[in-house]
Amino acid sequence: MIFVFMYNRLIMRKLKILLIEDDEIERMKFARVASKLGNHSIVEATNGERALEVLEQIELPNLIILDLNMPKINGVEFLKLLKSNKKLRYMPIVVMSSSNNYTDIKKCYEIGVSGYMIKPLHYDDYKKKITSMIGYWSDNEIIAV
Amino acid sequence: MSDEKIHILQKALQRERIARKEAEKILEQKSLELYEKTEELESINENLAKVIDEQTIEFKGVLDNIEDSYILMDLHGNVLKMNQPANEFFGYDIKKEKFNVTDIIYEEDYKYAYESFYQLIETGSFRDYQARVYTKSREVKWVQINSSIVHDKDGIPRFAHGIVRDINEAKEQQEAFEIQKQQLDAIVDSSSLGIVLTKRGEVIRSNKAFQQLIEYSEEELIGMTVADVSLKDDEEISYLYLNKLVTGEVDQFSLSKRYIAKSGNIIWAKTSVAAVRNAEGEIKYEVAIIEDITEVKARQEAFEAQKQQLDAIVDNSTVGIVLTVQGRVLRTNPAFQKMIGYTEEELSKMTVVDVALESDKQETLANVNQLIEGKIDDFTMNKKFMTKYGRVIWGRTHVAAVRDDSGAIKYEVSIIEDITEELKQGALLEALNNLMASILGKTNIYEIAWEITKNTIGLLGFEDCVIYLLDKEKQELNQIAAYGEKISSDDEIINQIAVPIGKGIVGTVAKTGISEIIPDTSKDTRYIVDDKVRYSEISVPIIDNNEIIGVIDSEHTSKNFFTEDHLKTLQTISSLAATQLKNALSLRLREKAEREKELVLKDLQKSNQELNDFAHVVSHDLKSPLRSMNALVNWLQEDCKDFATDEIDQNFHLLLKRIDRMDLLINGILNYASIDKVEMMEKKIDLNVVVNDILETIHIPENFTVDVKKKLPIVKGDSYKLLQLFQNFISNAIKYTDKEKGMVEIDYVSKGNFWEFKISDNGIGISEKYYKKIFKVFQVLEESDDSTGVGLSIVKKIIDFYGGDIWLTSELNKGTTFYFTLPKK
Repeated sequence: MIFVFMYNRLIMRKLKILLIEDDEIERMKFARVASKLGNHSIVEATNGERALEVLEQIELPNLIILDLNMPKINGVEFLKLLKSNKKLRYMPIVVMSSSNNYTDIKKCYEIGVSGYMIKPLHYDDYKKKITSMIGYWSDNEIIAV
Repeated sequence: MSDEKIHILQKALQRERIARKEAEKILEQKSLELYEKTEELESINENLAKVIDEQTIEFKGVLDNIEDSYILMDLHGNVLKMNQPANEFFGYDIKKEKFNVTDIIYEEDYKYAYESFYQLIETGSFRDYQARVYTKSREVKWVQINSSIVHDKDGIPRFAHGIVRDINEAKEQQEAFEIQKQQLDAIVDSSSLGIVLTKRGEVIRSNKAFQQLIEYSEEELIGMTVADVSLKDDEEISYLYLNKLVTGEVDQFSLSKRYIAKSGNIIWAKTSVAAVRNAEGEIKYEVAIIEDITEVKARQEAFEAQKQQLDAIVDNSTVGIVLTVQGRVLRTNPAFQKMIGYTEEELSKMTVVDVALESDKQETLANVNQLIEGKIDDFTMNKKFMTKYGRVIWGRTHVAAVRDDSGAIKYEVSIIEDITEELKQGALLEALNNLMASILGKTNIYEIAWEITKNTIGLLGFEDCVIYLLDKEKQELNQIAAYGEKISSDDEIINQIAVPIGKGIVGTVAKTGISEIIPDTSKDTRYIVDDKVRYSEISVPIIDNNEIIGVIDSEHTSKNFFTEDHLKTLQTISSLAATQLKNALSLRLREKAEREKELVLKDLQKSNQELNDFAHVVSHDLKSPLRSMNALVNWLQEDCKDFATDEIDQNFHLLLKRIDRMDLLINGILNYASIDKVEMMEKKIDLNVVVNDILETIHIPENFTVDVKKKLPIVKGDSYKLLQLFQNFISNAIKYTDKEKGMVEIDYVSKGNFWEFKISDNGIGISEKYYKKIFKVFQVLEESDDSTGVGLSIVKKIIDFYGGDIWLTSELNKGTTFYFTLPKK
């Protein structure tokens, strides 16, 4: 166990994740999967507007998981706001959407996202995807300005 | 001395002795008689002496008082007595010295003097002796002498006395007069004018000129009367004038009359007659000066004739002719009056400025100044004139100066040719050319039509004009351009109307295609009043390739306004416009179609967008709950795993299956909806790459083979669509295989501009009755979990999109072969 722990300490960074998602079940899914992947801290925001408030209050997250279809400020709008902010523009953002729409995906990459993940139908697939994603980002060097 | 002479002398002496004796005898006798007489006389004498003395005194006084010289001399010429003037005149003083009159006779006058002297002796007197004498100082003087003999009481001549008058002055005057007379005669004789002196009409003298004129000699003429050589026709007027002369009413007159020469020739002569009157005012002579004016008269007649001809020409001339003095109108001809609209009388009170236009002023003034300065004698310019009715006409105006001897301008003669029509024609021709040039490039029918109405119709003198365009669908004519009262100040047609085909004149022309001139619209029941009633109309169809596309129509307030020329011109314009209008029209139709297409496209884009948005909504709003459901079911399963029965497990399984199916359907809808909506990237696509990608991404069972028969072509298209196309075929083949070793073959051949692909499998096959149905969306032939019935409809949609075809051959349980074509480029 100590090894595992050591291992975790050694290679896995503890991530501070901001999840922006309006669907309650989705938030539960993410929390459930993420909680099993180590001591990552997760802050949730139910929409873009709330997310902006959160970003002002808390220490900056290492990673933002963003849903596209949200009331009020939607994902794309939120992306634009973030990218135009000098302080926040380097923050890695991974979009999680049920839309595999070409236009949507292209638009997100145009504005500048670090990843675009389509929400799979099966929970098992979901677990795999989230695990690999968090693993991936905890391995990455992230800078905060 | 010869004997004979001596004898003669002796005889003469003898005769003398005898004569002397005889004389002495007589003398004695006479002496006695004398004595007696003397005695007798003495007594008388005393009385007489008294009388004589008295008379002498008287006479002496007379002598002393007369201014003329008085000379008394003896019969030998010895001067005895001279009065004071004689003394002064001759310079001799008789008291101091004696002199004889013969001493003072001028040599040349001797003969005349002696003749006169003998006359004196014989007749006792002479009168009016005029001769020259010497004074004492040897001066030559002209004198007139009247002389007589003085007898004694016995009647014996004793003395001669005379009155000597100094006529020097008179003589000088006479000489001068003579010279003048000679000069005058010379003048008279050499004068080219005939001069005749008459007394009561009778010729006294005439000069050579007159003689030559009348062909009579001087001698013949003397005694003839003026009437003898005058033409009877002129008698009356001659007498009329003469009478005035006689009555003293006039002193002279002058008239032109005809004379008859000796040869019978008629001579026209200007005759001036002056009266020479005596102191009582009675006519002594008539002096006539006669000037031959036959030639002048002939010239005058010729001139008159010419003038008449000229007048006739001027009056009948079609060009305007105006005679002016310093711009004031003197005379005009009917052509000009007609041109300008004013009468001769009105014009006579006008100047050229009154009918000229300000715009020509500068040029005219420049020309006129040059004319006045004498730099030019005439000039020609095109000038505008304002007629009485306010119409402007163009006149080619030639102005020439008529000068007097000093070179000053007497008259200006202007010849004005109305070239308004000519210019109009020229301008029209030019306008037609311009019209052709300007509409050639134009594609807008309105522009073309306006070009015609604006720049061409006005030149025809039309009041109005409307161009109609035929709307084939509605079968009516629309006003697309106009001229005159039909357009507003900002060039828009006022009160646009549509005329149904066949209705009215315009509608008729549009139907028949035959031009019409309506001389009187009030007699034409078809006439439709547009903006106002006008009394004549012209209507010309615009025809292109036997197809009527419109009408050019013009109306005029006057009846009978339009002519065949107008018709021809309008037809020319119409044919010029037709092709261009037709082109523009078809362009307009094309543009309209394109616009409609564009609209449809926009609509399509809009509905596509809506569909896209719909798809978006669907993808999120329908898919998300499915994902949540799936997660929740999974959690339930996990939570229940300790106590779940097989039945519960089974139900969970079914639930998850239905969720899967739901997701599949949703994805199918999305796919189908968005296949032709995705942003297209048309480029060259290597189908080999596409197929390889598919083979790498989809799951291919181990007992299934995909066989690409040969290297696939490169086509132009969108990689996503082409991927969908081939993936659907391959997935279908895999999905519907029932064989132990499933397979699909991909092959193609070239067919013209298309590639024909062939994709055949050894699957379950499709019944022929479903051939059409399979391409319809959501048509599933067999209920299955992983089939949505979208695949082939997407295939059909993509092939349709590229303009290709799709068909198939199939045999149940043996397999299906799909054929489809894609364009090579």
